[in-house]
Amino acid sequence: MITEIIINAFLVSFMLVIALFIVNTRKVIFTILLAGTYSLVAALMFVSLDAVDVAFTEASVGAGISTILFLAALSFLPKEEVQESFNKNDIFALSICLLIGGLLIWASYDLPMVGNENNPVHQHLVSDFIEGSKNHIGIPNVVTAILASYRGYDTFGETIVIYTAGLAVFILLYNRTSKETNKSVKNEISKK
Amino acid sequence: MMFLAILFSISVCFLLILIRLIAGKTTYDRILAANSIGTIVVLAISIHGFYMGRPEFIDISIVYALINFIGTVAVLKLFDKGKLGDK
Repeated sequence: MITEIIINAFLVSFMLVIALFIVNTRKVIFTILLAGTYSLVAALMFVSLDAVDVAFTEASVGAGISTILFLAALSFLPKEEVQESFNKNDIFALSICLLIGGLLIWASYDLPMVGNENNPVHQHLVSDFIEGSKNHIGIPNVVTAILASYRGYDTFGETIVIYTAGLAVFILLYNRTSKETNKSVKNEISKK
Repeated sequence: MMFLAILFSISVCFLLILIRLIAGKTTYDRILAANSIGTIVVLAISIHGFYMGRPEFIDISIVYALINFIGTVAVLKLFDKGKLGDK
């Protein structure tokens, strides 16, 4: 128990230090490197909280894909951040942000306490899932059972939606000049 | 007991690499530091799995190792070519 607390405190302070330096650095490439490191440590945190599937997603999306996407975007951007000067409009924007944030925090006091077992979320379905999923389906992991079987059609639809979105992005960004290179490649293949 | 000692020494390494990542002199120092933090995370996940009695988590550390490699290759390619796309 006490070692778990020590591990979690160590990881959280580590993430805090990295986040502070992300805010501080002016070079974009360092920001991207630090952000990748940050999400790796966050994934380690998820592992120590026993949320292995979330850690998987965090590692592949946060540390893998988004780092590469940021790097690809960086090749079109200037390498250094511009030092922004203070503007009078900023006070207006800042006060609106603080106002709305404060309102939302004030509203959150009406929510039920986190982790309280009498919350409505934990009352009707969750106990069925926890007790019955192994007998119904035979998958030891409850999250996997819900995603792949109870909500199987939902997950299937999500996959189709993501596939369609990927195809649409590919069609939009398809480089027309590469048709000629494709043709030349085909010619070379047919010659052989 | 052994796993705890290993976790402790890994966290000391973590701290040393973090110092290099933040105060690194050149960009290459920082790239190397980010890559080593990935390696340390891989080690830490495996050791943590054994320490908590659930060594199945080694799968995840394998995925981490792959992703870490891809990320480092992408950064180095950007430095080499100046862009990530084809041509």
